[in-house]
Amino acid sequence: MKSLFRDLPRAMGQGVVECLLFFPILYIPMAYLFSQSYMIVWLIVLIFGYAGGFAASRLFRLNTYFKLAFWACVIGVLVSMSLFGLSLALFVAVPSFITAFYRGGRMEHISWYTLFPGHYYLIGLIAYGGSSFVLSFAPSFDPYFSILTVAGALALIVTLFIVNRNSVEEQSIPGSEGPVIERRVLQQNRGMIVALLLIIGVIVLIPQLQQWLSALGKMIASWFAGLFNSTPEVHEPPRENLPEVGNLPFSEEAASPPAWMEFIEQLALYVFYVIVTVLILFLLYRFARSLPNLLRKISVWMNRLMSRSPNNEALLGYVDEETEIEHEKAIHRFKRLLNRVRGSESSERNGEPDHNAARIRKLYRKILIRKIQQGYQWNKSRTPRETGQDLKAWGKAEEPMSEKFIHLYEQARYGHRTITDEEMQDSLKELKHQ
Amino acid sequence: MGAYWILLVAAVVLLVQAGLFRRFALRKLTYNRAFKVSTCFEGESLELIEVIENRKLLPVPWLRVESQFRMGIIFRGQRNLDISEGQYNQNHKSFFSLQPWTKIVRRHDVTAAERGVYRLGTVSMTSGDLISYHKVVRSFPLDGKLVVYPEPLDISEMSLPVQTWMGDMIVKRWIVEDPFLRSGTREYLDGDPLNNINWKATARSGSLQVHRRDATADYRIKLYLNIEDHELMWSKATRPEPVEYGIRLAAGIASHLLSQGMELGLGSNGSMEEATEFIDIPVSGGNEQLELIYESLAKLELSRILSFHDYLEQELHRLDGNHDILVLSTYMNDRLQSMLDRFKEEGHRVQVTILQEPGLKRKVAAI
Repeated sequence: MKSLFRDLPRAMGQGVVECLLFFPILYIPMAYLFSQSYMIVWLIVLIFGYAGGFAASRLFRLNTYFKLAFWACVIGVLVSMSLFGLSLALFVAVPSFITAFYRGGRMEHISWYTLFPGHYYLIGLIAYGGSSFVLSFAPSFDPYFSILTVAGALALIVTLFIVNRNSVEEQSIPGSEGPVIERRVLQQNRGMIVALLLIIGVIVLIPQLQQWLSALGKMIASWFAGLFNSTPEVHEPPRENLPEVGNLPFSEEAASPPAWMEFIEQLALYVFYVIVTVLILFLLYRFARSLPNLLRKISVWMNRLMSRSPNNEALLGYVDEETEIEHEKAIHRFKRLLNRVRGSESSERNGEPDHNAARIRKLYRKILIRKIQQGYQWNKSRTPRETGQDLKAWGKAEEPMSEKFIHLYEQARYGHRTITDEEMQDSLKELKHQ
Repeated sequence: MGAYWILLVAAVVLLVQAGLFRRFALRKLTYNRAFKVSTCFEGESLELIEVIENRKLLPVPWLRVESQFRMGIIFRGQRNLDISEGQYNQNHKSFFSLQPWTKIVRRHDVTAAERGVYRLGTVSMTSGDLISYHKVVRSFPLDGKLVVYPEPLDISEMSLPVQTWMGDMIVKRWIVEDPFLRSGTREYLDGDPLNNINWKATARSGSLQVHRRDATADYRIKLYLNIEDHELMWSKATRPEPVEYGIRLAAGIASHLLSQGMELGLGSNGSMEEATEFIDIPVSGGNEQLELIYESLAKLELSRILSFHDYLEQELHRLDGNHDILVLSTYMNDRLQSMLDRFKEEGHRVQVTILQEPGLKRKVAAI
């Protein structure tokens, strides 16, 4: 009995997922045959139908198809009739309850992953897509359409999480004793699914976002226009004092703003869109980066809260050390890109002595970054000379930086000496030869 | 906006991520694995270290690294393994998920249960997208191996003839005396160097006494190991226990004798790993010789190239000089006996140890 109470929430959860995935099949007839209040009640009854089937199957050993189907039919008819009496709603209520009870009963005997395989998710989502597309042309369904959309979004979220989990477990090629996957792998996958859902959400909401942004942009533009406009604000005259539109002479129509102003307004709007898009992308990136840490912390906190020990990692038989590889941050790359753009604009200044020192430093940085990307473990505390020797010892670099180049770099970096064009050209030639 | 729009966008995003991971998941991904030590003895624990680096901005949702090892090394987490049906190999897999610019060092606890050479071999990496719509596989070979030496049996308490081969053997006549061997004192003779005078003995006797030195000769021992588990063995040993015992015994004897400063060689009619030649290690001494013997014993396969009789016949013609021969064999019959008699006739001293199941009493037969 104790184990039954422990397993019932699982059966109900699985029932919720099944109902959510096949919600359109249930919901569309319900929308026409049920009253609004009964819909929610019936959905709750269905979830309990799963639990009832599961419990009955365990307690009364309903282990054959016939026994389970018989009891599902009996209970389905009784429950439906007690709720709806003799009405058209029975056409939906009876089959749906029988299905819920039957499947709940089967969950006791068969793994849910077998009972509800991967392609069922696809079928469920196709049902959502097809039904919502067709019903978007049916005005009679308009009051119920938003619920279908929300349920579709929830079904997608649930599907992505479950399919990802199943695929990770499947790819780990579990043995006979079931998959043993490190918690970190699951957390990172969940984090990536969340990031994916955020991207989907942003794209889906683009039309709305565009409207909001457009309104915001116009508000800011008008605020700026008001700020720079020295003329006092002209209040709109009361509506009743205005002459009728039909009586206005043609010449007194409000003059449209000049074309250049419209162009500037459009340009400002586009710039605004671009800035906001970059900002959103940057925030998404930052969020995706911090998400695993956040999830880890939440997981640790939850485990502590529930006094749960770390799961079966002892069975894995290994210890992991995870470290971050030294690399150039995205923001630095962006800055470098900007610098490069600026550099190309002022390429005529290349001959200046200060610029040579900067170029030597840039070259050194570039070589080092390339080596780091190839796998070299750079130690920050090493001097350029030590780094050069370390690179030689590393082996994969065939004389990446000569003594002469390092000497020149040291002078450019620490000596504040002006680097002549000849020295610059020599070092460039030497590097090209290598 | 309807559910169809959300699902359409989701489908496109999922396809894009599938393509992205298909194209870039294994890019700038470096993987290496090595045993922490290159050699160890049977029963010792060691570490298998995997190092994986994701040197790019794109994370890797999942990555499976698979390889095959010979049976004989035991991973602590046996659920990490699939043992193939043949019982000769085991499939090892590691499962990772990598963040951008992340390095993972994974240390597996491993026990070397059986002697042998365990090569890292070919590793195949499989990765894919978040819903496993696409998968990409890359295989590459890895260098490196672990040589597991047989566990040398402690022979100090065994009644084996090797106990008698302690130190140098004194010979009656030789050209140069052994400067380290003092057998007593004698009267001073003309030509004896002054540093050879034993002053205490001189004081006791009242006449000049010098150290008496003897000439010595080293034992030259050749150990022959028969890998046939019975007389009528065809190609492979079907009862490997006594032969494995013999291999451990040979390792113990080699360790014992070479540590005493003696010289030892090894021969066997078994084949070496990936070779069609016998083990033939000439008689020599020192630590290098011991390592060579250990390694050869580690590589020894339980399949014969020649019957032990024929092998010994071949050896009889090859062996130069007189040797002390120790034969480790699971059986002895008339043919072998007559062959060993021929060794004796050639001036060699021959001793035979019959190998039986470990734990049973060992019979030592001296001929």
